[in-house]
Amino acid sequence: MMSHSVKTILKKELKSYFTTPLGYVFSIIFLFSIGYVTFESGRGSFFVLRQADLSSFFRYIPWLFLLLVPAVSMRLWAEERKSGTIELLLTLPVTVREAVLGKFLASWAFIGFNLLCTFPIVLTVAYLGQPDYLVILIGYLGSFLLGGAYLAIGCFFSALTKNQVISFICTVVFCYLLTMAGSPPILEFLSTFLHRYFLDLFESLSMIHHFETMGRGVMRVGDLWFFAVIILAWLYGCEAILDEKKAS
Amino acid sequence: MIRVTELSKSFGEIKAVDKISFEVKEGEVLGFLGPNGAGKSTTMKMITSFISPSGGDATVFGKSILSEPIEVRKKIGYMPENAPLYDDMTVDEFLHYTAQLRGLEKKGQVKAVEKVIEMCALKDVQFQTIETLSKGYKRRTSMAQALIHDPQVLILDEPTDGLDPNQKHDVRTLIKSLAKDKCVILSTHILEEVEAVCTRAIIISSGKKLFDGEASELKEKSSLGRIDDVFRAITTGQEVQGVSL
Amino acid sequence: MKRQTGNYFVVTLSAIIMVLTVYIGNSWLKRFKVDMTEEKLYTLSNGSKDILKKLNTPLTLKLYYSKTSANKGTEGLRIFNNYFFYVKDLLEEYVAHSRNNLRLQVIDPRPDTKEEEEASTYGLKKFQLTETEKYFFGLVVENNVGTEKIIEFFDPGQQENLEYEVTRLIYSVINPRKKSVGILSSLPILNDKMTPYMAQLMRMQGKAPQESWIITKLMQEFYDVKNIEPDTEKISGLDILMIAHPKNLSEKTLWAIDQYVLGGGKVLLFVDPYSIVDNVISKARAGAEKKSNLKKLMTKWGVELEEKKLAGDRFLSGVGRMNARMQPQRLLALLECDQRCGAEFKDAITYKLGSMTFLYPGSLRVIDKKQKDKKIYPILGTTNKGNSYEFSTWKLSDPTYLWKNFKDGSKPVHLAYKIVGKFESAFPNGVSVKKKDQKDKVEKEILLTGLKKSTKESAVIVFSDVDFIHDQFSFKNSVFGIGLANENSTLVLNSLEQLGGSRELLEVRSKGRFNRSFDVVDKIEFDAQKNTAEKVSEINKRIESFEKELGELGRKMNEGNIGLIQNEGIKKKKELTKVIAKLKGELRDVKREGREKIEKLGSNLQYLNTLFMPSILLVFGIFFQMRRKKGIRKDS
Repeated sequence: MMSHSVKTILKKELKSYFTTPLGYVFSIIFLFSIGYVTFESGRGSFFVLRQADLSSFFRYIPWLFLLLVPAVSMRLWAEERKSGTIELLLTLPVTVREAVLGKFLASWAFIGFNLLCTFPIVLTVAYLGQPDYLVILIGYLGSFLLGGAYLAIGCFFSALTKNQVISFICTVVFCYLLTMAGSPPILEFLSTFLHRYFLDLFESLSMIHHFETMGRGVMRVGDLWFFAVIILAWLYGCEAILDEKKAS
Repeated sequence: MIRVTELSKSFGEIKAVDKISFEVKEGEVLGFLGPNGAGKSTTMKMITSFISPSGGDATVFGKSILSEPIEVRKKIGYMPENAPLYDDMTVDEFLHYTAQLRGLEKKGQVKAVEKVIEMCALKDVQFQTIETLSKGYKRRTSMAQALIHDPQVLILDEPTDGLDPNQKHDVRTLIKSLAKDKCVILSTHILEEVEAVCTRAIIISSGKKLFDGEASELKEKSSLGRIDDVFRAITTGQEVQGVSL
Repeated sequence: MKRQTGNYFVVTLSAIIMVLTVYIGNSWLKRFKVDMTEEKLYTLSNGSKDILKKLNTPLTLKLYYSKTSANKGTEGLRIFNNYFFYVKDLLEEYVAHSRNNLRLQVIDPRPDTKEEEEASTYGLKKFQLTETEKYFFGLVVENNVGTEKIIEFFDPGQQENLEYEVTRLIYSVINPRKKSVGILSSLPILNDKMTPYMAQLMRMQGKAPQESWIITKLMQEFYDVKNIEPDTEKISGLDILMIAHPKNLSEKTLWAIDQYVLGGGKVLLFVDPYSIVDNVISKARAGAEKKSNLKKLMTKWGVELEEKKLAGDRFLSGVGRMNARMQPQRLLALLECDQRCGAEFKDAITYKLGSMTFLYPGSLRVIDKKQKDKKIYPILGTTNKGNSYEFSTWKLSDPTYLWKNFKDGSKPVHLAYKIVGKFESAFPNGVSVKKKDQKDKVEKEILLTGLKKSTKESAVIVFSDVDFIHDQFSFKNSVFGIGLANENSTLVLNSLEQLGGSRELLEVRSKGRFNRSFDVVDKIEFDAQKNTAEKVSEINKRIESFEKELGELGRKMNEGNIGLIQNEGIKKKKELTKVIAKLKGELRDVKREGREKIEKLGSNLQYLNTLFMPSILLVFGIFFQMRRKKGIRKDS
């Protein structure tokens, strides 16, 4: 299914997360923070709610991803571009699409690896009570898809600029906008100059809404569709940008 | 064999390459000469299909860079300017990676890597990460990746830039030894290199081809036997003493 | 340059296509989903779907939610925000199944707007968040001729019953008529011959007027209630027939009930193997039967009341005294049902009812396992430890004997059933009745024949007790007048409401909420509480014994040793204070230990979740980095 080149790039990129300190730094920060905020003493805290589900865990996933996923994606293309290795990569018999896909899948797999590393929280709820494992599974799937969507956006901005900082900031801002697309303050702001119909359109892009239904254990084809379209569209954008740079 | 026909590239208003045409046959080593910013690198990037031309075409063994860029790339071994490499990989990993992307079989990969490591004398640093290597080793690693699939066409963008005289000598020897059954294009602004390695030379300036001929021909143009003078005369268009164009 | 513009055009175009694809896909594909929640939170039950199928007039659902205000409110409103999305999703599910007969409007009423005024006019509950911001969260269902029904406020605590509430609301908009209920009873439940004036008159004469039971007064608020003569050959014109404590009904009456049910009539039945109320009321008639049954018909309905058996459960038994001379003690006869009794069955009738009191309830059983045309749902039962026990009247007066001889069971004894579907007649060959011919005025045997099988779907709800609907066990007098003593009356009203609705409404079940509490933590707390209780009783014992000693000292006291005794008293008291202080300290320790245990568990788990994986990764990371830095050749 996956072409040989995609696999090769995927493997190399994935390996680079474990041979450079960056991957470890990311993982350690992510795993520590998600554990910390889940148990953080507040009203939504895991140990205060005393429900053997992962709602207090999944609630923070979008926000941690919002900061950490762009940090993963920012280097994807910006670094290649800056160091010039992109010239190496794209003069090998590899299409832009394969390269985009390989890099994206590698970083997505890395996000997946990090999610897998949160398994102690599943053990914790299993020890404390009787959780609904299917709901947890769907929650994880939702988180994985959300991570993929953020990454795809990050890929796009990483291809757009040589500068990793700019890529990071753009990604965070855009992901934030899409995440909060359904939130009243943003809608209120937009309603000052957008027609109601466009507002609805915009609201339907809200990532957190799609993510939350999955977190509750419902797998809607609509949600899967949403994430699939978002991921593919932004990756296509990324490919278009790289092609564009080639032509100019 | 490489055939370039009226290849052009413009960046906005600036014409970096302006309708350049030439041919390179097997066994030839073509020296690409020209001052900085003349369009040498751009031409090479177009032939390797890293960037797409604004006009014209180039074929590599009959495959067009416009319609079959992947086929073209398969035939070419390319060493980009400044030899960019993945710093966090080891030499071994990197060569295996490129071998794999070149579509070599598992067994072939190991053999090919062994071969280029020997050819480029990388044995000592095979398992070091690239960031720890000296400039010379980096060049050689980049050279090794260009040779890994034993390409019919070798395109080298300033292969000896920034090397010490001994390293330069080694690289030139290597190129010469390779040149027998390959088309080689190398860009440089070091003129003695042309004399030392190239069978043919092309001089371009401001995107235009100004000279195309044997390297020895170039030397003959100067009564003093100084290629520098000829180069200056051609690229600047000024009268230089002892040079008759 | 041309090429560039072209590319940007493509990018913009694909961005627009992306947005549209997301939007369209989202709205079209919304219906297709896999509901993996154990509770099936997002799936409508068949009952609701059937009601929606029958819709043939357009209805508008107006969901009022002050979204903007909620976002300006406190963090606590988040839970309402989440619930709102759930409600909206569920309502969209209704719309999806309504063949375009339902329209959902989500309205965010802002202060001082038409919408806000409307919300208030409909009678939705309003909460003042700030001086200007008001908070609404309710539903209005409206049809095009102006009938409207509302849910004034959605309480997140009532999530389990949401579907039932909404379906009922929709149903009530389609069927707004007040239903009629007929009561057929051997007990004077409804005294419709007694006018208030007559009652007044009787009271003035010093006689106790026989008033209707309070439950009927409640029923009259929602239904037309009338008595049915206990000897009748045809019952018609009723929505629900309530049969309470049927005793010695004539064949003719049974026939009438039989035919009523086969014709689609709904029945709420209370049978009782031993009725206290009957005992009291029919005291005059000594030796009269205290039990009731409707065996002949119930057999056809698929259930039976176990003969000469009562249902008991030590874990649900209430404390009371049999008569004034006895000490209060736990009585097997007094069954105090809580949430456990209904939770398992997830039926809207009993779900979440937390206090129901039954007296000598009987035990019901399903006898017809095949259930071809009908479905039998248990709706109320004892806990797993409940059992049925045989009784004879003389034993009932000795609660200690009953208590001692009772054996815990292993599965719940059912106290009530809901039966929905089609039945067969108990009189397949008809019934012969004596009837006076109007002309001849001579009694003749006439054979009545009628339906042999149900023509329409019907429904019956059976309870194995009748006492629980009596005033004495379901209402209480207080300074504020008559109030509810428990939820017995709610149970009756819920049953009537379901029967009064369509068959479909009967099949809408509550969505259970699964208990996912931390078992481990609960156990620690439970243990700590047990230890605490032990300490407290020890302290009390000490104080008691000290008081005893003090009393003894006091008795020994005389003029000669008064000083000595007083001194000793003081000394003892000092000792006691010390001991008590020590014990109280221990008590505090026990309490603290429990709390600390939980806290420690919490922090251990927090360490596990925050530090375990990061440290493993750190170790691995450092190890691999070192290996690489050294340029160690990997073995391949």
